[in-house]
Amino acid sequence: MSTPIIFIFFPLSISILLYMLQKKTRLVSLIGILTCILIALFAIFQDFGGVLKIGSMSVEIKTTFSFLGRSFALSNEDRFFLSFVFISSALWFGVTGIVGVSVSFIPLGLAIISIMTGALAVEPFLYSAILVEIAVIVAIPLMIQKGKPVGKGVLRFLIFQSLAMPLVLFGGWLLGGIQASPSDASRLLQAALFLGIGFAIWLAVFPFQSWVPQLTTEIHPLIAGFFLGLFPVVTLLIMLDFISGLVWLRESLFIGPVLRLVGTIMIVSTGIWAAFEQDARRLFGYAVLLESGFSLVLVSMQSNINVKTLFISFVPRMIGLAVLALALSVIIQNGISPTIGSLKGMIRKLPFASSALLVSLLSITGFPLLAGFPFRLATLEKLGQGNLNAAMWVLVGITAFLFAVIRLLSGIASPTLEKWQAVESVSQMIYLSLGILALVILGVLPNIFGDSIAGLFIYLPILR
Amino acid sequence: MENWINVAPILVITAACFFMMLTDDWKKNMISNGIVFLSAFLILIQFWSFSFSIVKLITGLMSLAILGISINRNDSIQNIKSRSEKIFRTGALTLIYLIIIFISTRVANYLSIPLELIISALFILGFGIIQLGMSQRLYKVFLAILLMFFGFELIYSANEASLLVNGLLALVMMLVSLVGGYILVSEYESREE
Repeated sequence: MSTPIIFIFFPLSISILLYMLQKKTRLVSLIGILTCILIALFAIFQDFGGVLKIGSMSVEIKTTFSFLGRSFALSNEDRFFLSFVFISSALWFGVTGIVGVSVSFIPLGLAIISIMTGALAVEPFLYSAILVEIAVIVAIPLMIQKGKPVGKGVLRFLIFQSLAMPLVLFGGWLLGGIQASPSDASRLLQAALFLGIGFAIWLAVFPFQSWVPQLTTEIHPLIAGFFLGLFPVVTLLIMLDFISGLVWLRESLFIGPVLRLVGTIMIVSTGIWAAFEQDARRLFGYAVLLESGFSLVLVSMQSNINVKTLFISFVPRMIGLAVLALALSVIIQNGISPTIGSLKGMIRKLPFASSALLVSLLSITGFPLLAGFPFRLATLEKLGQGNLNAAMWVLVGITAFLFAVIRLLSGIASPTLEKWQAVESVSQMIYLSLGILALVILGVLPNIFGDSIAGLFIYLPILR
Repeated sequence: MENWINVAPILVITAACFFMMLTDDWKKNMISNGIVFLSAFLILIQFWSFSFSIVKLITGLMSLAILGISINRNDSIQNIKSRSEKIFRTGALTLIYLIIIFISTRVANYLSIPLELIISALFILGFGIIQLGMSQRLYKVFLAILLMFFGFELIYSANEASLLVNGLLALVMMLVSLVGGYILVSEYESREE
């Protein structure tokens, strides 16, 4: 038995099975959630490369698997990512029923996770470009709503991702040719340029970001949240693996400043655009971009503590986006367009969804005592120590984004003649309340897990 | 150029690309695409193994067939292009092709790939990208993605003989056409509703 079989091929085969069982909605949900939980537990507790003991039986868990001349490897280094991805998927799959998302979300979602995990595991890394493209293509049917024309955002998303694949493959191939003579500086630069543009398109870095807010407007918020919560994280990890694997790149003088500049531009531009935004669905897209900008800033600082901060920040990021997606789904399900104009006085009609929307956006902004705050504070502190100008610009971006949230708040909380009446269903209220509670608890007690998950961070990518 | 006879398929590719740039008729577009795949195959087969080359051709043609079935049932609307639009489109593609001709020798030397392969690949790639930027018809967007991938594969496959990579690239092309078909059918259904 090997880890790639457990984390890639097993969920992939389950997803095919679930796709065929789509009519049995409850069974599909149950199997999908249980599969994710089981796999996540395996990632948390099992030592990869060790022995799994089941009664008198002992099974060796290998970390590599060869397939058609290439190998897939998932080692202890990937345990945090795997547990994070499969736990968050279980949560996403768990709320499908309460917001009316098609049950095909579960099999396709599981397939996307498996392929994305394959993208992270394949060696050499450049083949991950093809797997990411396959995951993108598998995601497209999820993004099309029956009876509605295909939006520009979905098409742009497909086009941008299709442009990224050749760039990453070609850059990787150039780089492979240089390994024999690493002194060829001009070729190294060309390879880095191709790969850099490829990664920039994947991560929706400015100016390739236009599809993100368009996509979040066109597709169901839950599907947008699932995909945009997962996709940038995987591509970021592929990028980290890539930087970590090439000594010349991680030691080069330009990588840190370039990533810092790109991350800062992303945060500032996202904040400014968000400040003028009227639609909460587009704000959702900007929230994803803001998170990606902060991730790039953390990577740019190239230290172990910042990489660890980045990895832990995936948790509040995922919870924040999930609560935001759920709140938007509930609002849309009640027939309300989530624009500032339509949301006036909505706190009286949809108190839980409105509160969840605001709390999640505030958490993503880094508002004190919410889940995102410790990470934003740590990022700003570290960035300020190295480059005060960049820290000031990041602060401008955050302030602009906060302004957008305050505009939304003033709209939602504006007085109306309507009486207080919660129209959300009980299950929606419970999920939304749990989400808000999680954001508050993680903000007040950021070290709540203490050393219990410390084992997952022993083997993080080295950036310097 | 290793063999001057290869000028013929390159000219055919050029003509087909210009034709596709100007016509909106889906049948003519499909046939032109097929001709591009066939001409590129004639060049590719001289430098690559027969089995790998035929896989590329069959993948391309099958992708066209899948897309064609989806369009066939539904597409009847045709946009009539104005004269100025035709001139603009022809001018844009001519400009791209001129740039490709000027840089092709250097690119061929840089990548150590035969000149005819580079020219045909860049012509297809360039057309695919310009078509992606200009097309408003949904099926043309998918044809452009297919052509872009095909052009890239011609360059990439010249140096990458891995079975897995070539298999996955073929799979990507097939999946793009499948998703394209799915989106096209979904689009027409929504229009009918």
